[in-house]
Amino acid sequence: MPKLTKFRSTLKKFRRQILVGSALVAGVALIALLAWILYLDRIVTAQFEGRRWTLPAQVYAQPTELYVGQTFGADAFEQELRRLGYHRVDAPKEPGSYRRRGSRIDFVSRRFQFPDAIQESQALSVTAGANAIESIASGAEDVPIFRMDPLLIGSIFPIHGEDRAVVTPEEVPPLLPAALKVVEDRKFDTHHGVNFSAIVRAAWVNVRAGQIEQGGSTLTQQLVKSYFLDNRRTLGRKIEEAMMAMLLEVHFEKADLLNAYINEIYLGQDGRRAIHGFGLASQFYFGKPLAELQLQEVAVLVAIVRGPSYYDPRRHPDRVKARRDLILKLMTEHKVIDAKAAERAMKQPLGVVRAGTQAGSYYPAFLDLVRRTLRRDYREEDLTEAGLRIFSTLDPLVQARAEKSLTQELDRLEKAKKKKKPEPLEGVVVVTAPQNGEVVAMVGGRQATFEGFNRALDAKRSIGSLVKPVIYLAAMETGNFTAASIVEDGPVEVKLSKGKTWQPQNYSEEFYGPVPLVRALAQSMNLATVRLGMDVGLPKVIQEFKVLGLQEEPPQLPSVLLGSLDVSPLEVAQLYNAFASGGFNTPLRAVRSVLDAEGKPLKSFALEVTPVATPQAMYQVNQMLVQVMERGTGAAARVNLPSGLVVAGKSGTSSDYRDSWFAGFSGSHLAVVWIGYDDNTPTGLTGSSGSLAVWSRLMGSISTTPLSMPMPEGLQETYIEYLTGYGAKPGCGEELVVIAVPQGTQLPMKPGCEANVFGEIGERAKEWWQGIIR
Amino acid sequence: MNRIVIAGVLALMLGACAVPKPYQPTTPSTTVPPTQAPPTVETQPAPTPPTIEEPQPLPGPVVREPVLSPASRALVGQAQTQLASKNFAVAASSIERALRIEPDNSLLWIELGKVRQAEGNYVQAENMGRKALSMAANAPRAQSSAWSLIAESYRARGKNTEARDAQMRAEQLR
Repeated sequence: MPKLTKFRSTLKKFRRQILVGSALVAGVALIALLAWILYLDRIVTAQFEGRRWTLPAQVYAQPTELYVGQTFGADAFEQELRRLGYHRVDAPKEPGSYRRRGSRIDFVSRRFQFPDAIQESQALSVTAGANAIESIASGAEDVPIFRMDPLLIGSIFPIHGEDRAVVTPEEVPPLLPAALKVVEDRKFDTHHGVNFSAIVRAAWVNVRAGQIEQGGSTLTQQLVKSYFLDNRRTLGRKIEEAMMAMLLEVHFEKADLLNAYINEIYLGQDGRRAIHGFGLASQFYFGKPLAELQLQEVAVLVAIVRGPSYYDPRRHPDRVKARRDLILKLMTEHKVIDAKAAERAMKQPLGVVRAGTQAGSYYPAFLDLVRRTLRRDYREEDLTEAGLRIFSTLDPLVQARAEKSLTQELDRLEKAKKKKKPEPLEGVVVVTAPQNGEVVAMVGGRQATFEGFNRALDAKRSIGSLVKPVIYLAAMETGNFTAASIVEDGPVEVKLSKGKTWQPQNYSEEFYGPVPLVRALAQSMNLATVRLGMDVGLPKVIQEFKVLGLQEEPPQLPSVLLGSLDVSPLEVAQLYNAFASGGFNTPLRAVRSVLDAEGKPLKSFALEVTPVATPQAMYQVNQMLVQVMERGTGAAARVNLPSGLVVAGKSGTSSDYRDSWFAGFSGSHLAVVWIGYDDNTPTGLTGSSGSLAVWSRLMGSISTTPLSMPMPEGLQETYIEYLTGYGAKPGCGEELVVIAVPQGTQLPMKPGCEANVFGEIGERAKEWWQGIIR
Repeated sequence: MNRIVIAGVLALMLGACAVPKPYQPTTPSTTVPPTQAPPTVETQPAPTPPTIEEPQPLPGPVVREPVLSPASRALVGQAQTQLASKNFAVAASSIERALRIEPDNSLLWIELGKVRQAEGNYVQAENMGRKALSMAANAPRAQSSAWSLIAESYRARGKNTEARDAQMRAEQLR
């Protein structure tokens, strides 16, 4: 043992030095610890006292207006209420509830801040007939018009994907904090951020799988983890988390922490979008505000907290229901609710709204348009952080139909194909309200909820015969043509520069000979159209595109006459909107107005109109576009449309069948459909065999009005033969169509029909008129 | 300028001469202003009353003055109050609400034009007037109001000649 003795003596000898050294090390460590705590403290307080959350801009759909005559039967109106998350009760007292008795529905609306005014919650009675609202009353008083609170359709969340709708403590149903405490952290009201006994117990409990018990982390720790730290699970992290939790408790009230938790915690995933906070989760899973959740719905959300993927109520309903019922039981045991209430709640279904069909669905293509619209005026951070409220033009019903029509038809078209391609056939639908230019629906691809390449805005594709109405409009504007003018559909040779020539063909590779314009357009004859276009003059045609609202000027090339022109579906909608609105350019809008977080109006996008064509020329072309649907390339749509729904439209097919287009309109909706492959390979589809089917299915399934254009002064309507263009009248001539021509136009009559085409009075009036102008 | 006036007058007479087609009963939702009630045949160039020989191929235009639905009336009233307190954006949004319900009602486009005029956006005021005209083909009273609006917008921009012409058209239609 000499060694040991030696060590002891050395130790004795240097005792002083060792003591001093240890003290120094301890001192440095203590200082480091203090510095670390101070550092954490600064992080915690700075982040918490500043803006606690970044608030993505909230985007609302257009509100549903209620008025006498609105096309809602009682069933449809009840559906509308359910879509908005209203629930049925025996006696509606609370906002968001309703009662139905036959054709009468009583409901209590939600308070809502519209861009122009705050609309207070009120009790209303609506009586509906078979297809329309018959009366709206508040007590004994008739209400001429009432706006429902609009559907929240999404938000503009930042790149990292965190989305939330922040709620204030007043908007939180009291059951939620109570349930959270019972399930997650029973000592919340008394601990100092960390519950040491719970940590020890949790370690044991984890072994007994399947049991519902408290987790080891307090709500405060969970909040810290979600708010400040990443997902790594190391001992160091745990200590840091515990320290930060204690610091938070030192600085902030329990109520603040609880509210922070409610707004912060992760509760689900929707593609790239991460659902944070109970406010958004309530919308996402139940389609209604948090304040209106029933007991069993609160329990579902609390169930999800433990693992949003494991307890996803849409994918694992049974698992979630079991946990929900356990939570209800726990709440009874801890006297948060009574046994009866728990029993009633357990009998209820989960009640989660289906994703993609109602509230909680997600419209990336439309939201992308909203985002791009606002990017002109706001910085990206303003949109993702400043809590703006954006009032959009989306009509969720039309959107749902557009999505459905597109997927159904694409599936059908693909099944019918002999050669299967590994790549899916893609499609786009854009729907506008022509008179005010509002974009009411936009589908950017087959998987409407897939975020990525927005074909509606960015896929610039060859539009084929969709150019034709523009050429015919340019022709009518010259005053030298009418729908009855005869053009020759025969071989055409256009001289190009450098001695080259261009010889276009018809799709059928046939020649139709002399045809009236109305037929040339209805059957989309290429050769007749090229002749007409060259006759009118290329510069005039190109100018017409610009005037109608096409952003990029087309090249001065004859091939433009057959649509070798790359345009996005949204731009096509802008172009056709001028036709659908009777000759006015109305800039398409996806946003009506923007409010800041305090409800102050920041910006509104006003309705603007600019006349871009003479009403007469536009009317004549639109009449021809009606004939496209009656007997031309759009005639196949008829089977899907209600009889009496007058529509106008035009098909388009690009060379080698790479793009299938259809653009057409009723009185209240314009829809543009595109189908093709992303890699631009041929689809084998024409506009009529592809996109028209989507278009007609959509138009046939929404509530829309027939096209009824008042005839401008200076025109008169008359009959001609569709095939020959000869003037005719009922009982004389074959396959008659109605066209509009300038008053006083002398049409060559079908032999044998000469007299009395316009009726005797019309003839005399014409003579009188000609007498005056002579 | 005279040529324009003459053209206007002629256009008017032309419009009038389009009236003596068989008169169709108006639907309950339309009103026929008394001044437009059955046109007197004497002033018209075609003296023979229409002989109904066969189903008339194409019925002539019928005077159809637009009326506001109760919902629109409420919204227009609201807009007028908002306009009185110079709250232009809000007044416009009230009219736009009505236009979503009745996009083809020329009276609403005229109302929107009045809001634009009041806030000094004269070009849009005129355009709204033109939009209203395009929808009021057989409604002389609505046409008259639209021309008045257009005249006002011209006047505000110092285009006096055009203003006078438009005003004349408005008065002749009354």
